Amino acid sequence: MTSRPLYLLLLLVLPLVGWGILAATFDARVPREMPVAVIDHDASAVSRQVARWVEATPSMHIAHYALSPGEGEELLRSGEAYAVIWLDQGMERELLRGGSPRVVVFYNAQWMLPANLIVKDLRTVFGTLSAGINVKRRMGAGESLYEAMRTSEPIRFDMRALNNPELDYTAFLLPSLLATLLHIFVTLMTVHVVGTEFKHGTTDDWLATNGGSLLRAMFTKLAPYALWYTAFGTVLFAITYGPLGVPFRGTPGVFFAGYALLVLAYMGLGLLLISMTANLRLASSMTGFITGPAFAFSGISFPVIAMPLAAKIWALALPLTHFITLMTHQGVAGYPAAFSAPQLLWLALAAALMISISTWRLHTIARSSDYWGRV
Amino acid sequence: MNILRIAGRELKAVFSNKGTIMVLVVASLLYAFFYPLPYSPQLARELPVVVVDGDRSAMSRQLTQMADATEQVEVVEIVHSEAEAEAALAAGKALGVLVIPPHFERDIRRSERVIVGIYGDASYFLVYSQIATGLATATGTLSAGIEIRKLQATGYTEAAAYERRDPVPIDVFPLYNETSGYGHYVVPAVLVLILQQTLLVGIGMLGGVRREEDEAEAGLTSWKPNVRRAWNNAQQLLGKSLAYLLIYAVHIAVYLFVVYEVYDFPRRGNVAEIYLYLLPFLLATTFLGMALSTLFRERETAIQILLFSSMPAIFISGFAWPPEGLPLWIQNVALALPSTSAMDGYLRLNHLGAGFYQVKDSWMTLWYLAAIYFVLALLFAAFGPRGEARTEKHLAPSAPAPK
Repeated sequence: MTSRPLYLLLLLVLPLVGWGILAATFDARVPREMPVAVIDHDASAVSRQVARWVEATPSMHIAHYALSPGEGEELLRSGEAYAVIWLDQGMERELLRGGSPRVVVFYNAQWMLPANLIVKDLRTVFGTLSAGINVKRRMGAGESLYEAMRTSEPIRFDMRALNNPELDYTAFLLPSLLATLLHIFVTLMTVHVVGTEFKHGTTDDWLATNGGSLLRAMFTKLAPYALWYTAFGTVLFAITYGPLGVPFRGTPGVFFAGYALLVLAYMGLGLLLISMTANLRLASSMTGFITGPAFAFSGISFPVIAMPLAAKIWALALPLTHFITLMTHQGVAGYPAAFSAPQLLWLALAAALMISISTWRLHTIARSSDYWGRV
Repeated sequence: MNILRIAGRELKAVFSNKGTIMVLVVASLLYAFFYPLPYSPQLARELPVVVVDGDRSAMSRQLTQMADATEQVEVVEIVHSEAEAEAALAAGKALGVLVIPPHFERDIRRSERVIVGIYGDASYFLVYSQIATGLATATGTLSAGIEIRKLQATGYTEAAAYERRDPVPIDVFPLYNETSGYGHYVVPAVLVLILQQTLLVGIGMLGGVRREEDEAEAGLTSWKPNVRRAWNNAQQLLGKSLAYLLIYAVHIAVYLFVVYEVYDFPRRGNVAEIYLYLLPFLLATTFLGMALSTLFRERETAIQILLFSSMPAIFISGFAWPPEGLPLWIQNVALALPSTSAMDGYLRLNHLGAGFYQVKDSWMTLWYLAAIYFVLALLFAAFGPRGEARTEKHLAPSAPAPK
């Protein structure tokens, strides 16, 4: 076993590579200083002030001053700017006259994440500008500062991001990506260690060295991997939630139980796939089909409740979805332990069901050479 | 011609093995329909929120109705206390809360400052931004209406009242993905990744099959250091890559004309330019696949080694997470993957409607990668793992012939 580099890769090296790259990717937490362009056709004190405020936002950096909207769009298309802010001629004059000059912003909505951050900051910049001018004008009309502040915008709101007040992308993405990585390797490894016996026609020897008992054979073969992935994953999660500073606000014990059950559930899936096909290549491909796109179905990027029915059913059938729900509740949200009971129960049920069905199936096929050598 | 003959033989090899058919033909098409499925509604609409109505007045009911009327949220319950709202959040019954304070209506009439609370579950980002937008829009609209009425009462015309209220209004125009659809954002880039990953796995699988079957084909698969036959090896590489170009040219057509129709994605690029742009991408990926395939001992090895790489590849490619937010070394690792430049240029050509001159730099990057991986594949073929590995028999003597 240790003679093959494959084991070292699947057990240690590749999970570390994947996790290392992802952890480094989100190191900045929130993307900052993304390039935007300004078209300053007004060239006034006000337009320069707007530019300074834009530059001062966390998300934007003015990388270009474009001369026309056409040039601005060229910058969007070539990727040199994510958004164009067009301050038209006469802006300051119009404001002094008491009017309301419109500002036009167009942005590249295909790159959604930068777009969202930039538009949010632009609304703040222009909202602040508007509010300031509004109050100034009222004071000019004879209202006191207090009166002016009070009567502009009668209802204000206090907006709070629950569970993740920093809107930290690392807290949101990194732990769930780590869980997704681990579930891929757990399933592949399980398929491999059992599948190899079928491919190379050695299930006889495998059973014989365990006194002919299938349960013992399964246990001695799989327990080390279950222990390894549980321990290794726990260490990686501990580093993510510890030194990497991703907040964990819940009950560590519940999280750990959930993760251990996730490992068992996906060992169950691996067993199910290999026992149904007795074909290492086919079961590995099926693992790819199920675990490869699982992140897209997990509800992290797009909420499960908004998915069409077929996708919702598939999403809820995946143990990973339930583990990621548990992880979000226990990690970033810090809900009480009892709230995670349904997820724990579901994971345990999925593990038990898949392991039982495949054990029953292995009883038949592990003793027959008919299932050997399938590729 | 020699190259054509090699291409024909490679096609035959691909189509006479169940595993490679499944990866190179079935999976690459199936994924393209399956992956976009969860995102097909594009937007998360009518997300459940609860309202803590501390006022129970006509105006608080008006705000509740206005919130319910937005497309982003749906008011599922009106509760009395924040504790009840918290319980609804924790139980997953609601994803956001609107808190209307006591004396809401009275304070507005007295021009006292009124603050409503908008809370959204930010453990899921898309959910939070939808809820924040929906509830802020409702609150802002009510507030604006009240302010306009007050201004009108003091003698402003309606138009003047609007100007006075918001002196610098901004008009925001989202371009290229006008509806900010989530599927439009994610899926096109993922389609490019599907092309790359299935090609790498498929070629790797065929490499594994050949190694298992001890195929001692002349040239490329003959596992002996063989510098003098470099020309022959080069022809082998080119011929084989031609086979994959043909298969994948069909896939791209299916993506553009079927998947794009089914999921209603915009197509703004010229098809010939898209093919021209993706040519070095397919070549680079094929050569990389051939270089890697010399390392795989069995047919399964490719999928076992490469399956995990899709996720890092997506997140470092610069579309899911902007390159400005990536450490420099990650940006360099990303450039070594054909998918990074391919996604960038493909999205610009087909979704942003960019001209070819605007994607020329990333197109050149793809040609450099093709050249580098071509040389790498030649070197791996000439100096790669040697025949000894094959003496270790993988198929047990007792096993029947593979079906």
